[in-house]
Amino acid sequence: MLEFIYSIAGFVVALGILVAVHEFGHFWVARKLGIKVLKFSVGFGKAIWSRTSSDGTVYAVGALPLGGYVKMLDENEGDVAEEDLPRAFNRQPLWKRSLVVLAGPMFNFFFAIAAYSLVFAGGVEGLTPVVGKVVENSVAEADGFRSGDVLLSVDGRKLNTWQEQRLYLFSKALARKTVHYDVITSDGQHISRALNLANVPMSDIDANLVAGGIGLIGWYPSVPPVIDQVINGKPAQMSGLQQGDLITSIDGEEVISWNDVVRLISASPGKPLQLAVSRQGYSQTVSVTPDMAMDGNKEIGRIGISVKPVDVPEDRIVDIRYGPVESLYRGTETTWMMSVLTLRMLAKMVTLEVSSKNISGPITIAQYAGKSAQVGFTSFLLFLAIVSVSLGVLNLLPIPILDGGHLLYYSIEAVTRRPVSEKVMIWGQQLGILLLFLLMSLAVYNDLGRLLN
Amino acid sequence: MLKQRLLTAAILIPVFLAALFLMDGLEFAIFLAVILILSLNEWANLSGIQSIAVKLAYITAGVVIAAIIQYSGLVGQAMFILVFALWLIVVLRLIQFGRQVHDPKATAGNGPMAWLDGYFVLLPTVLGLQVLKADDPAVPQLLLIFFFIIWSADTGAYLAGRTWGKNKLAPAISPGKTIEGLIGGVIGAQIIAVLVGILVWELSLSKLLLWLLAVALVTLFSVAGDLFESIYKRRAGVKDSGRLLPGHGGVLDRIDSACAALPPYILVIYQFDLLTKSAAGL
Repeated sequence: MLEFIYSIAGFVVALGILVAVHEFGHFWVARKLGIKVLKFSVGFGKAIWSRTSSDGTVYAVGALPLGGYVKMLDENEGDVAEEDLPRAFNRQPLWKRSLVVLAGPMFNFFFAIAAYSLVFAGGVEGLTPVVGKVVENSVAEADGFRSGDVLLSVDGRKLNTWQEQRLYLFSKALARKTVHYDVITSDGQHISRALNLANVPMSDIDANLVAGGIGLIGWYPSVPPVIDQVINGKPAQMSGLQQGDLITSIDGEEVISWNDVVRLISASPGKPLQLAVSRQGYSQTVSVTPDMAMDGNKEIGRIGISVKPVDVPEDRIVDIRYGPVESLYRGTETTWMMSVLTLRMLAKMVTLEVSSKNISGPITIAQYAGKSAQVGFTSFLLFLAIVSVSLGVLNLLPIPILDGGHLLYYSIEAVTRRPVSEKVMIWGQQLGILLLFLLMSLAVYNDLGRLLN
Repeated sequence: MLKQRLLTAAILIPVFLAALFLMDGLEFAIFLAVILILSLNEWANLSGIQSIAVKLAYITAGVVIAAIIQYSGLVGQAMFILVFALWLIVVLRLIQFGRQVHDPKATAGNGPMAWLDGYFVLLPTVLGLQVLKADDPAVPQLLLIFFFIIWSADTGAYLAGRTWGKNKLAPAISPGKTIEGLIGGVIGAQIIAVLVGILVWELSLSKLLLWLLAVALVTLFSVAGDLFESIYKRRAGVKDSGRLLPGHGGVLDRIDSACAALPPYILVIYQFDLLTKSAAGL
């Protein structure tokens, strides 16, 4: 329940902030260019708070926290008094209208830059870039990566933490490129390794790219296979496993870490397993049949146990902090990379190369909002930055009714020297609404799928 | 009138059950093709196609397109999401225009657009029914549940509307419908949904709640399907789409609500992983 409240609250706050930023962009530039703004509202619907400034602009907070709008003086939307005509939006030259429209998405990007820079300046914690495990038969294994490799840099970009390579690998994998690592192997040799990302199947390019698609798993302290929680009604509980049991072997295969347990149980959905456990010093054998569960489109086994996480040793944690200029540079770079990545992913989805399952909707976003807000201010800020970039990119798509659609009309106007006809606008609007509904339905549909599995 | 209605029902229901339980995949496909031909014919009449030749071409093209979609493996989640999005637009327009008393034309197409609407309404419906049947031809549980939901919504709407009906739902399109009826319909469908969710599918509580929400959506869409056809009937100046089923009107009148309700229902089925076979061209 608390989770749910966090999600809703996080979602409303996040959307409120980002929409306000976006609309403020339109608002601020419009005012600077001398256009008369009638209303600036965050949230739709009935105003729960409103205030009229001395120059007649109404500032409001709407009851429905799912968007917002800026209403400018415009002859297409109502009568305009003679003396106000020069300040009406539709009477402005093309460049002014374009700037006003462009300002919304741009402010979303500015926000992301500011958020990332702030996080970089405040310090980021991460794990040392050491390979913990290389997945069998993976792209990384084929290219020679081994557990214990210390990754110094990728394509000349110094790696301070394991996490730093993620975004870069993502964009290179989408571009089907090969990247070059400087590596110190576990026996101390300093060598260069090429990782051919073109071998990563397109279908594996998703949030789990590095571990799942490439096969590189970062070093993490080994977790002893001691059961911490047994979920009621699941196979483990029904066959009598208890909290504190140390699993020593599964079907005769010796088990050293929790990872072994996960691997063996996952591989046996519906197939009975003999678990040897040590309970308060006495060993005994328990037969458990894992339930079948779906992981993507793979069937995996689960028995309903969990483990207590272990602390990461101090010397494996890196805390990096940048100066203001470097932070700003990195913040801008990250925002740029995220934007390009978002666009590339969208393009690959349109050409059906990447699964449209990667589209998330409001439910997933709300879940992330809740989770990141619970973790702390920094993670919530990072979350806001990501959503802000998405909003900016999405709004720039040339879909009528979005900012990008207006810009599309304006560019046609720039060529033909006259505004797009009303008929085209109406058709465009229909098409735009259909596309948006399609996108929304798909997103919510994916969300539900995630929720159910 | 009521007698005639019951008599027709006495013939229709056995035919329907026979189609559901006794027909194999191919026979059911032919049965659906017949329904498609009859209802496309009615749609052609409603949207003002007069020439026999044009009508024939319209119907033939519809059947051919349906067959092509079926055999090219395009029937799947993506297709139903697209159809769902289109219905979502219909629903929003109905909300926007349904309460205004002036010409409801804004919600329906003219000329070729009206013909296309016929394809949009009918083709996904037969393709979707085929998906549900193909899942298990011997015991078409998914089909039965779908029709139970639609019928209980109809019945609930009828009873509630007759007893409490006061506030018109969409006076410009269908003066007989009331908001009270709509609520009754939703409740009627929820009763079936609870029974199915608990007894047949044994859903966990959280999944049950999602399922109930989904069925509420299915119910609302079924009303939209009904209203959407009503617009065309009203424009054509007829009360029923045909006279094939005495007391019930045409084939279209029987299936109109199912047409809009099927896409969300099928998406729920996909999403809850309730298809037992992968026959649906996933």
